[in-house]
Amino acid sequence: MQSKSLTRRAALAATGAAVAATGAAASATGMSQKPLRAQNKTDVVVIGAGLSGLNAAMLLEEQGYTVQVIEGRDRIGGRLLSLRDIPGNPEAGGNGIGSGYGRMIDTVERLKIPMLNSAGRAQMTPFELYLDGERISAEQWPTHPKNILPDAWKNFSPRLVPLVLLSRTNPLESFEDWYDPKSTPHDISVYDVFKKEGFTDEQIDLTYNLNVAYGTSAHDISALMMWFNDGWVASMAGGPPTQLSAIGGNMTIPEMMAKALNGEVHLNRTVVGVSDTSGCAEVVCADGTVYRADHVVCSLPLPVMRHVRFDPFLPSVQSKAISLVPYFPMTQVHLIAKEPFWEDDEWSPDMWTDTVAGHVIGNRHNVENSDVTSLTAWARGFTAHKLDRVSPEEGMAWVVSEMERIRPSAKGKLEARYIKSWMRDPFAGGDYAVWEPGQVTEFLHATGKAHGRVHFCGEHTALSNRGMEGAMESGERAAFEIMGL
Amino acid sequence: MTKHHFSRRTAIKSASAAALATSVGVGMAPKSARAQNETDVLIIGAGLSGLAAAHVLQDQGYSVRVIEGRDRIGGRILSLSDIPGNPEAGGNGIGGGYGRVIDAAERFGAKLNNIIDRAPLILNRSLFLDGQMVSQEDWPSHPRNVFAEKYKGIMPWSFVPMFIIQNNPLESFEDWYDPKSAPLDVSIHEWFSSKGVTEEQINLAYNINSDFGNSSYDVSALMLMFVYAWGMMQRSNVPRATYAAVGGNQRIPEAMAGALNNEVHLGQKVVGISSDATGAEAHCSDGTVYRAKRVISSIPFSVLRTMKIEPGLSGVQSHAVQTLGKQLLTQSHLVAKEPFWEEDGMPIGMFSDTVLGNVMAQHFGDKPEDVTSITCWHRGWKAQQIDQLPEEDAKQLVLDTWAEQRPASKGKLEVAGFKSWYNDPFSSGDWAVWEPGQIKNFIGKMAEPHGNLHFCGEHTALSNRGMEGAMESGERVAFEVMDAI
Repeated sequence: MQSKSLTRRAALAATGAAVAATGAAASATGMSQKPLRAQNKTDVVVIGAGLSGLNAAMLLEEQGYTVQVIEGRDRIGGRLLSLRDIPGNPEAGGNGIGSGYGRMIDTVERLKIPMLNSAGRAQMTPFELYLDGERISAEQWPTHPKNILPDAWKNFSPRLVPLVLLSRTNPLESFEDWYDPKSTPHDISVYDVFKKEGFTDEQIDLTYNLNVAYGTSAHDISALMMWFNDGWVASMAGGPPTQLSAIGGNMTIPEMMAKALNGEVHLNRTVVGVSDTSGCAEVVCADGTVYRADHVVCSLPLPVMRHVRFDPFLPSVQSKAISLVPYFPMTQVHLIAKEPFWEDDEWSPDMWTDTVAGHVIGNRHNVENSDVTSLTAWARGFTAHKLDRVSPEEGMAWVVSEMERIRPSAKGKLEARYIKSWMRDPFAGGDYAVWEPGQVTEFLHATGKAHGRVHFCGEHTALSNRGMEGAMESGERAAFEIMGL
Repeated sequence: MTKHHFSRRTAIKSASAAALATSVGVGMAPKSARAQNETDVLIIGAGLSGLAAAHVLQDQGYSVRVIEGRDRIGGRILSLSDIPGNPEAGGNGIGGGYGRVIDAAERFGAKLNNIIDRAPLILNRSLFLDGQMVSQEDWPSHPRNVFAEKYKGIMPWSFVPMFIIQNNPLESFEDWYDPKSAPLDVSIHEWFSSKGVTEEQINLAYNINSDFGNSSYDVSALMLMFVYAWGMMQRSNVPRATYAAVGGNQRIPEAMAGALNNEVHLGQKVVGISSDATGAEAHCSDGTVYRAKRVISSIPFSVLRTMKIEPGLSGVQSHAVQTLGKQLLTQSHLVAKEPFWEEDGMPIGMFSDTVLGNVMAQHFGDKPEDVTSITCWHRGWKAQQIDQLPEEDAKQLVLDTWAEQRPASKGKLEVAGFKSWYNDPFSSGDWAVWEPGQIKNFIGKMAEPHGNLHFCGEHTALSNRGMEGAMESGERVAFEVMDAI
């Protein structure tokens, strides 16, 4: 296949098209007519200046490799995004850094990034439930008419039921077993697990589908992924309850990582093609820039790779994963309270709702973690879809009006400052990979498998960690692959 | 009957929570408002299927009310009346065998033109691949032509229909929903592979610009077997004809709506549907409640899944509503200020591996050869790439890509119409796409009545597709309702 591809290139070049070498690029944006700006060749080109790509770049540079990092956005950080114009600098992306995030903590220590313990930020007050326009307190819930849960679960808030149920049914001896082929029988839907435990569809709708934590519904999420998550979170929970956040926002971490590199990260380089057909790897960008290297580290999320032409084509299982693995629909609206309306009605600022406001969290990002500095409405799954289909302004207004409807004391006191849809972000296409039933087994190993000179990283390729730490793990693995370790 | 319902409500209300009345997330309308809104049948959606159902029921003497979330009639039929020739952004050619659509047009006074003589002009297009235009003459000996010898003369866009038609295992196209066909409900990729089509050939024929779904991995082979067998039947059984309504196909549903006894209520955004012992209700975002003995929902599942249904759906039906695939389709409609195609000597039409997708010249002028506008069909991941951008950026991307692909077009095109069906909150996709396994799992069960709630829409059609499928489903649901009341 590779030799055929080389012949084809030779043939194209012979026909007089000097730009034939950028065939890959043209496929995605038709950029072939532009003069190419070839950059100096380096040992490695890293695509993506998020945590995984930057970690790979740092490790490779330490070992003496020359590395060029390129990034499609006009900023560093990928799915870390700190909102610096909002009091407390809330995070629209990667959030708390747990005490077990070894690679993250090591990196911030090495780079001397000022951190604070943010463990106290979460859940100062209980999350209150809002269903059908009604606030239901924790005391009311067990006997409330809307509580259709099985008797043994009546005392649980609906949002906690999936977590507890999945934790109780977790069949994995070690959370890392999730990627062991022996776990294949567990790669079933969360819906199936609920059903086995005797839950009705109505109960599944209330506890999982209404305000989903992962995926869009219990049907499209692998229980095996959730069991891995459960075991991994539990493994992180050892030791003192520490959670770290970078002062000024977590985005500082990738920014400092980028600064620590020998060269500058090239921003605004949207990759359209990656080829490995002419003795070295080539990365072609929409603006016509071409980077050449012995190795490429591609940290792009799977939805973004849908728009990149790989030449030669990726193996079928990888193409299939790129096409099929869904990414988590997540849209956040960040709000400021002009007055502390929760002091008027004396209810918690934190709300778990069935509205487009989804899950509202009062961020306590002052030093003492005591005052509410801003509020974030987390819309996930189908709720995020609803917000994604209206304009940003309409989306923000919608969330405010729904919060005002269910929380009369908030009327006139909310100001939406920022909306972030990860689905509609062309450099993300969703927040993170959510594995459907069967996909852990079919795709997990394949997504991180090198393709000639092209290596893959990113949280979707991580095996032993999730989120930010998973991203770091995957960057490390890709770097070691190139070093031959 | 109605009284009974009201007293139940009253009882519940006095029993405890006043807020129960807002059982679907909006304030309950006063009784007087609801009484005005009572009919035998309420139909949600003024597209073809809903309107077809309304007419069958009205003819039989039932009182019918149609409500519609958009501010216009027509659903996924959308004629762009501001653009020369009134091109269609939605439902397109009306085949000679579209009996129900043709009948409705004649009956309600929408004039049809036979435009079959323009079809060859529309099909005149070149291949744009890897940054190069390839004419139909050059293709058979082109180095990128990886088809087997007997298919070398076929353009990539014809391979899939031709191969499926030649190898279609369905005896009758209607066999697609027969359980005996379940073994064929695998991805088209898997079926092609089983027939010896290579990865390279599948990529060229399907994945660079897919007609259905996003890639060869997420579409059921069985769906495509039905689609093409049905298309063959359409072409073989009747005199060759393709009709278009004068002034645009949207005139057909408009004429149908105009002939109803009760005017369609526009702008009524349904947020929830409930069914009880004696009837069913639709609750709208403005607080209006419509009550009827039976409610018919023509809402696409991609939208229905974001609404509240009481009591909740269960089993297969809930699974289908939450996961049935949808076609990503975005269209750009361009108007040329000068005939740039005379300058570069190439056909206007293109089948492109870039974001432009499938480009077709529209010939709706007095003379068939007149070019009235140009339509780009961005499908699957190409649509996604566009849908993630703000609309102005998306249009610019289209124009930039044109300028690079066809330098002669630079400065001579403007985007006069733009429609993303995925970002449309009332459709969230163009048509239902059956993913591998979904036909055998869902069909026959997913559209069963749920209490007093019934379902129609093209996704529920069994023997037809597109506009004719919508009409068929409206007819079927009307008979279903007549049997029930």
